[in-house]
Amino acid sequence: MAKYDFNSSRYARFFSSQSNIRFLQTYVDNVALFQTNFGFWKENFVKADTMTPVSPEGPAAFMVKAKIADAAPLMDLRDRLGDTNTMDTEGISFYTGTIPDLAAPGIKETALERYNKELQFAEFGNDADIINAWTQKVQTLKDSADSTLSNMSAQLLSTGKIIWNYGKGNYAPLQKAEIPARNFKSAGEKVWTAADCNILAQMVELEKNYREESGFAGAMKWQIPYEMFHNVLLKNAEVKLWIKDYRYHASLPWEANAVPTEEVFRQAIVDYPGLSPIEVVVEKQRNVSHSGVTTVHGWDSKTAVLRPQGFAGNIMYADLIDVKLGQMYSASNIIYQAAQLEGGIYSLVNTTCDNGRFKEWHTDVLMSAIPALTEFPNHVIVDTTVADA
Amino acid sequence: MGTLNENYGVYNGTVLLQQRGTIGGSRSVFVGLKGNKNDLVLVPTGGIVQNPFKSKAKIFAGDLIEFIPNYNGATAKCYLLKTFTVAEDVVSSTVNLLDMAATASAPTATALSQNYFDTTTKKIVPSKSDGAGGFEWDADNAAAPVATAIYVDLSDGDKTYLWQTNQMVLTAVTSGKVYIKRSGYTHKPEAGVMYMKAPSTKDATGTAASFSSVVEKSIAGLGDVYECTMNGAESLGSLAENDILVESAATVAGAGASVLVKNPNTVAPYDYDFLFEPATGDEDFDGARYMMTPVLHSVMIKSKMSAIPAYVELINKSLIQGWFEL
Repeated sequence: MAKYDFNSSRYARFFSSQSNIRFLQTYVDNVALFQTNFGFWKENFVKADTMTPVSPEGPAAFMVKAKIADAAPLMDLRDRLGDTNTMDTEGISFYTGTIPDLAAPGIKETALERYNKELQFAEFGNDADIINAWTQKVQTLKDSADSTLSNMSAQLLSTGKIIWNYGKGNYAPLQKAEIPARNFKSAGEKVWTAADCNILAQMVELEKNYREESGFAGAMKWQIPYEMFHNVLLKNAEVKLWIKDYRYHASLPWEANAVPTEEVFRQAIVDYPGLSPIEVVVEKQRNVSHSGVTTVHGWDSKTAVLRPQGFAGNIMYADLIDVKLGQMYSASNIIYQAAQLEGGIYSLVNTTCDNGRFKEWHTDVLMSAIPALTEFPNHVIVDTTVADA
Repeated sequence: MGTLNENYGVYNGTVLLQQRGTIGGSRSVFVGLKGNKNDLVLVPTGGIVQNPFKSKAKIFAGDLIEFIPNYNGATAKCYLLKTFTVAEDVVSSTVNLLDMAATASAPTATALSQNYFDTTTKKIVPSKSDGAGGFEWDADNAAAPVATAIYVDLSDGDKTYLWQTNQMVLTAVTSGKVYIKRSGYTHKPEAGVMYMKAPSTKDATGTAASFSSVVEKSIAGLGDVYECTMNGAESLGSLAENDILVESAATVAGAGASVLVKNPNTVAPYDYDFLFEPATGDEDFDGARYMMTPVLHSVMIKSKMSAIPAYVELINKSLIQGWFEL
């Protein structure tokens, strides 16, 4: 005979009736419990202020707008009484997009598995181990959602597009930001991997030319993927020479042919004139499809990005129709419990349903969200493998 | 001031505009079974619709879908089984009136289509060709004319040959046009899409052809129809009333074509309205991509479903007359 009633355990209450509807949300809101292991998206995008409504016709459409800027022209020489010529004004550039729905692989627990847990509970009188195990599984689902947003963010930043070819569901192009054609640049005089390429000088030249043609005067930064930073930048001859000279003038020891570390590089580069700060992009995700498991990067490996400092855009998110339907109209033998993660971008849904003669419990993390660029008129994408014509 | 943006714009004047339409009624297609049904069982992920309508159109609850999940590294897909019922017999080739006349010597083939007897003016006049190589009797007049045709062959110089055909009533409409039944619950045929007569088994082949235009019409005797004009010299072969056309997988017209939807295995649980122009390829980000999630099982009333071709009836699991079960 069981010592304790499993159905009043905390674990059971994550799935049970509507009177405990806040219990799951309270648990997940405990910030110490769930980590963000794939936080690249959080470094570059911030959640949109409001949820995007889903139109009855199907799309959940959002719009992002930004002002197009051109550099100011020189003045016209005029007679004292001459009137002014009228300035051409550029408009506001915008693009709309729709928000897709995504789902992490779900956790399913059958009645026999639950019975096994109940026996454990009776043995130990405490459901902490069971909750711990379940929390770790839910952490995996949250990681799945975080890595999805991170992959999309990296794709959008480095290519201006998001194309979804991962997982075991649908594959489709999802979004193309309205980055002006002039913002797609080639590497400069030489490709960055060339032994005699002056990478830093080319980077400065790219930025200077862009600022002149667009008139953009705000702070910018470079974003360079990890492999490119370590294998191309840090091994570049100009970089090594700069560091050697810097350390010589600062009376710091250095061996001429040493490969610098990131810390040494950052210390030396502060003084390089006209070079905006360089941020190293670290992101990778795990793709599980029917053809196998691979490691993928959302960031295009040959691309460096020059963009305004700060967040690049918003995470647009929409309502989840099956969660809404489940909470409003679920069949009488189905129990739906949902909690929000990340302020509403993800939903954690616990469902209790029938399977034959017994019950079954499902835990899913669902998301209807996609990043959108808000600084797209000033977002510059540099293909480092193609030299200027 | 600037270039036209086709989606958003400003008009500094008054625009007078109206729209009209009805929000239609509904037709219940699922059999009412007493007891707890387990029919709204949705498949995982859903699929991307591979053959959406190019213009505003819809599919209906109870329509059959072929669902192919993601299993070999390709995206999950849905194929809509669109079916079209022929409203009237179509004779695919020109009616050979000469066959109906007893004759000693045959005229040249061209003479056959050159002239006919106009019952209104009581004169022999040049034929009203519909431009598709067919010969049209009294175009667009719903009443089939009853007339005796007299053909005059002047190819022999002085001699003329007259043939008097038997009186006949032509019920076939012009070759070059196919009439498809139309109601609030039928699929809409489209120009430029390959169709074929549904074969008796899913792997059998047939002749695929496309329409150059589709126009909604009401014709006395036929009712509401889509008047579909064949594209150039393409032909669907002879069709009888109530034959069912389906989409073909062929990309060019001709014989040896297979059907597009060979294996309908799921059901649309409700109506879907296709309101947006679909994407033309992977590089077209602005075109629409439709995703849908069909259900695995349902029991439906056949008379309320969209038309069921013979090869689809073969997979009907229901042993009850008038029902279709997947």
